[in-house]
Amino acid sequence: MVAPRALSEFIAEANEILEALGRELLALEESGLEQADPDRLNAVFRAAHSLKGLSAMFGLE
Amino acid sequence: MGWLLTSRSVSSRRKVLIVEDSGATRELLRAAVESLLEVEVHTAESGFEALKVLPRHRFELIITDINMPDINGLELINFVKKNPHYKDTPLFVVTTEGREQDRDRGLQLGADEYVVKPFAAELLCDLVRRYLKL
Repeated sequence: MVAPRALSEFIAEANEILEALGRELLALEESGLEQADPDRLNAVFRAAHSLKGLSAMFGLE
Repeated sequence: MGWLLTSRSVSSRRKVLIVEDSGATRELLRAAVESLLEVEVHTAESGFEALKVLPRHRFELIITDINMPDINGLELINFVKKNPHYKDTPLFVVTTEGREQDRDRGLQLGADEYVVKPFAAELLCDLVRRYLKL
């Protein structure tokens, strides 16, 4: 069983990452992939990677 | 009358410092290490905070993440292992899977063990037990 404090931190952090991911994806959609800012693309990959790593630690893959 | 003595709670538990900026990971590490009842866990959210906490207690083990704001884990390891007060304190570095260069750099700077995220609580506890001789 996961410690309740860890779980609530996980939910908060996962939400933050999802929000950032949503923001970046929306910006990418608006600019179009052709004109995409490489920093934005990197931010999307970073956010997805963080979420994956965090989820793996909580046994959610 | 032991009124003064009894009002003071002296913990004989072994002190471990966990340095990790991600709240979720920090609490997971804490829960794992705290499952060892002989251990008292202290935490810091950054390398800078760790430097402030270090002199306040006699830690017998430090567990640190690498990627953190302000002072990162590698800088912290370098500080600890070069400081005569702390250099003999065992130190574990927590690295992310696939970032072998962090692990190698940490070990080079004097880290005693490394833990790869996602980590297995039991493996971590075994390591802690071994270093604290529990």
